Amino acid sequence: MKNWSESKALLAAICTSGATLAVTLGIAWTMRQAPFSIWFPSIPTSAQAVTKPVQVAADAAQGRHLFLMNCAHCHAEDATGDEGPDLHNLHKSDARIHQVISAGIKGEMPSFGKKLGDPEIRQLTAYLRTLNS
Amino acid sequence: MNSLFWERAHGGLTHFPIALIFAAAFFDALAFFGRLPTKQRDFKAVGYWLVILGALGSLGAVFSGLVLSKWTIGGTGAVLRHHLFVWPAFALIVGLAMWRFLVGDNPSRRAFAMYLATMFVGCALIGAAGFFGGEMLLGH
Repeated sequence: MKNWSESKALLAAICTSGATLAVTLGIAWTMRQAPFSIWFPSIPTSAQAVTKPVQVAADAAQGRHLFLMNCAHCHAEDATGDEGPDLHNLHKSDARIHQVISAGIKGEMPSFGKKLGDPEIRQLTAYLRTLNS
Repeated sequence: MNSLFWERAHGGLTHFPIALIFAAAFFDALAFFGRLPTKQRDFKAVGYWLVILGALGSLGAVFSGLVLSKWTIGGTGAVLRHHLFVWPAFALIVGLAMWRFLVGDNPSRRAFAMYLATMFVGCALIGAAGFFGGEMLLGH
């Protein structure tokens, strides 16, 4: 334990606090601007780069159909929410969305794990992603 | 490492600084309001180490949260509400821990009172950040 004067320590603490916050936000901003994410590897091959958007669009279209059949009852046809919450601009990972659809939320949302398989849930997720503004 | 990993990592890592900082405030309050000098010294030492460990733990919590949110500083909706409390709380905790580290184990009573009051503000900010973080996790 060091023993600086209290006012000098206060100045140092403010500087450290500000610098830590600035560095953290600076790193986040820099990483946000990066052309690809090193934490969520998703760099497509050249063949995938061509076919992926088409596949995603097809998945989303099928997902829309699944949504109307299974989810619109509670989340409304436009997914803006009714009995269930608004599903626009979801800040959740695909894995988390998959988990919620599959396992449900106790006391709030039924499980669809037995009714929908992995491909269907992936299609639903693709549709939900189209709801981001 | 997929996003579910970071979701779990963030969920786990955030609870260490939350618990450590709340406990630090508690022990420092005991030190401040306590009557026995020996106990006061002991409580102050506990508070000292807890706030330093809490600040170190907050680095891991912030890092995992940033990766999880794909380096989003602000965001919208619940993410924005979470971040509005996270950043001031983070800065405050780092500053408090640094002050405590530099001043050592025997600050004046007036300075310690100011420190303790700021710790409570930090606890409130951490609590609010944790609340909105939980809101995101619970699906709304």
